[in-house]
Amino acid sequence: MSLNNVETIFSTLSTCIYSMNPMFRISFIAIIVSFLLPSSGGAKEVTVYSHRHYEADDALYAKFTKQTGIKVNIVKASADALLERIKAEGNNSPADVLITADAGRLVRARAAGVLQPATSAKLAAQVPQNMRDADNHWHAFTVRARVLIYSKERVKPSDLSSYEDLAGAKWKGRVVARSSTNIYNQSLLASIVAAAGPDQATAWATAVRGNMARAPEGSDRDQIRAVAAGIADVAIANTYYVGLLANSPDPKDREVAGKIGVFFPNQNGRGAHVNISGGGVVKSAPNRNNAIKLLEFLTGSQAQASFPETTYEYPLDISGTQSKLLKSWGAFKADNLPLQTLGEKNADAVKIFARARWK
Amino acid sequence: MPLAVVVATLFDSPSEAWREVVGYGVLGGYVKGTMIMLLGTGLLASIFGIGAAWAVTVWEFPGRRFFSLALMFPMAIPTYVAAYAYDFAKYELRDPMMLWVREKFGAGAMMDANIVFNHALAVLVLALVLYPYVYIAARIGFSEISGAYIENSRLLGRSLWRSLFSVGLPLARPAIIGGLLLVLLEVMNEYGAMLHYGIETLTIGIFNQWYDWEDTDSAIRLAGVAMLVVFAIIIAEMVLRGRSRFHAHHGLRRNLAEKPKTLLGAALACGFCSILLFFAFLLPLWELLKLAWHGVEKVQVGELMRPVFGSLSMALLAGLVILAAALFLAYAARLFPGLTMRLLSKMCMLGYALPGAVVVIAMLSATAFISGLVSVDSLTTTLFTATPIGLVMAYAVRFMTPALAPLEAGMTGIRHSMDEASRILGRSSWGSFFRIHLPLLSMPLLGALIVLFVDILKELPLTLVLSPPNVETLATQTFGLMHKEERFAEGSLPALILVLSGCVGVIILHRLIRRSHQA
Repeated sequence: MSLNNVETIFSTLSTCIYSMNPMFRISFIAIIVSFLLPSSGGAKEVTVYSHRHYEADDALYAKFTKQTGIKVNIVKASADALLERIKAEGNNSPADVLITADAGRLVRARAAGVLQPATSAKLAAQVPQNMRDADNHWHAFTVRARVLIYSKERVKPSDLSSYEDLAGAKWKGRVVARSSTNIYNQSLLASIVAAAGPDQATAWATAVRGNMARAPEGSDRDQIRAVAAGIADVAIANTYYVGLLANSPDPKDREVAGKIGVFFPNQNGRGAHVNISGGGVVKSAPNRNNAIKLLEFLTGSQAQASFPETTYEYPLDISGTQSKLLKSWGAFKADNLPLQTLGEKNADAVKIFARARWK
Repeated sequence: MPLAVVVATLFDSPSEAWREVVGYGVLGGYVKGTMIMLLGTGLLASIFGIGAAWAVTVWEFPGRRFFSLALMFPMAIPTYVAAYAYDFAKYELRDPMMLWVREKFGAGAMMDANIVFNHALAVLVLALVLYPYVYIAARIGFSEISGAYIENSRLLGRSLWRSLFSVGLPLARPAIIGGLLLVLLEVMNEYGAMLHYGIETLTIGIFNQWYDWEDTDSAIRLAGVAMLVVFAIIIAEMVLRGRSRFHAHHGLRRNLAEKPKTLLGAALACGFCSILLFFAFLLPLWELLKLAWHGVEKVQVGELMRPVFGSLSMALLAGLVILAAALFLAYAARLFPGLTMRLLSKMCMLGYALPGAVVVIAMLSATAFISGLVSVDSLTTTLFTATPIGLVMAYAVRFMTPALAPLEAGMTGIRHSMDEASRILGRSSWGSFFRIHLPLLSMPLLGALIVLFVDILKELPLTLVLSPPNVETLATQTFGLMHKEERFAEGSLPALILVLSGCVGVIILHRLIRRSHQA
């Protein structure tokens, strides 16, 4: 029975292959064979599992390869799925570095026991204390600020002050924000939990949800567009989306960018909420040294100078950026809460969002 | 095995997070959202698919042959691309409408109107890109099974309209229900488009529980609820398909299209097909082209070759493997028509109905489990993670249904007396398979291959997580640029290539079908 099964599959396959013309047949077989062979495993390589799906990152990896001769293999998928993959692969995982686009996932990865400390003098010098794990299990390499985006037409910057202010009655029906399933909102709320405790955070989330002009939908960019279209007056969004709109090849996007302003909240208090992109060395990394070299490269001056220009994220040294666009939004004070806390308070934030019916 | 885990969890005592899900009425919201999407999309896709298939089958009108092919094209557009391509409807139609509603009826009305609009748009967009599943199935049904009957009905003086309901639909029912099943399962597992429109479905809930609450238990519980819905759909399909065994009159296959009696009929058929094709394909394509026009200078064409190669080779390789396996399953089910085989083939549908990420997790645990069994575990891990074997297996778990459904429908169309005759003449069961079934199944086989090729081309979650390092496909590149980077202009280029290669696949296979008919 099972033999017949195999026979059927092969005969069907071979019928298909033999019905092709010869040139196509050869290339088809070549494709299959090339696919079945694993990529050669030289020592001069590093395998990255990355949540960041940026073409600009590929260009950076190419530079890294050019400078060090170390080939970079990449798997790009969501951090949660990649974490599951590393767990499933166990000790044989080919992964050397796990890169995520928020601190919470790195904290989670560490708690799952899949990361190891990366100690290096360079990393210690290049990454500020609050931008890395206490035991060096992960290091940040870009910073993302979550701010208020307002309509230049209908809102004066002096009307705005803090995240907490958005809970006030004057914003009834004027606020938009994306779904609470998004990690940026979760980490913002986690920072509020850390600053004011869970009860006040619950009151805040409930009030802001009540002030929304429409039920949460789409991405940060959709919120910014809603402000430009007049659906709402203030949106909660990350700054680099403004960069994307302002630099978009589509003239309609640039029009949107022209209608809105960037406001850094809580400047008289703890500062604007920031999160990071960061990476950690995987516990079973077959190429541990290359992994550390890659993290050193990503936190080094060359890569740091490139992020504001390509992905419109802030470098680790926020005030030191040379980018015209980023400078045009103004200097700001960032909340210097240890990023680890964002991960630790994440579960609270998720629960509070559910209670506030901020879906 | 994943099924067993799900069932076992359902009987455990609920976790705290699960109580919160039920307590805040979240579960009700998920179920409601899912039902609206299933009913709306199912109904609309049926009207589009059956209407179009009937029009091109029985009417002769200008461009009929073009339409019969082109009406399949929308299936080449992934739902996540269609959602973006239809974004203009949100900004140019919805937002001005909402502002008007707020002015007239207040902020609360706008909030409600916005939700209604989003649901309607989501239903429309999904139906527009999913109806080809019904269309293809109905075409096969109308031309293969009921062609002769339709002709008789016409000879007996029934109008084409009445023939549709009295003869065409009842006889093509198994095929059409099979196509509709695919549509409903696609809707069940849709993730990206639902998030885009802010619609809460069970699939959204599963992700929510899994990733945000870090509560696998509740996620599996929700997957259990989703599976109940899927089971309900599958059982409905089995009941609807029923015990009916209508058989093809292959000797009588001929072109049914006839000159319509009235100009009105031709105009209606032509108009229906044109409007459908415009909204389902030309409009989204035009939007993508407009975006690509802005983005083209920022992209180096050479860089697009790698994902093109990755996509085409994966789609062909995995497509053939899955087809072979499906053929085996379908024939085994015919040889051993017991409940076990039927259940087994129905269980394969779960892979299609569950969200891709759940299949991913199931595959990962299966890999870990197998590695644990085999002592040389580094070898299995290498095979699964450094070669596409793991990905092809995952595709097989996911796409067995679109391969199996048309084959099973095709098998139903072959008389059992044929098997018996062949066996009496001394052929083994495998001998009869190659001599009788395989040739008679050529049409469903090619139909299945079309669907597989296009489905694998569009596939995203499995490809992202399970592919070996450095594999980029058109789908992953489109997703990266459009969804993650939100650089729509740049992302529209791989999206266009993805859609057009899907169309090329459809054209080639359509040709093959025509040739096999002439032979």
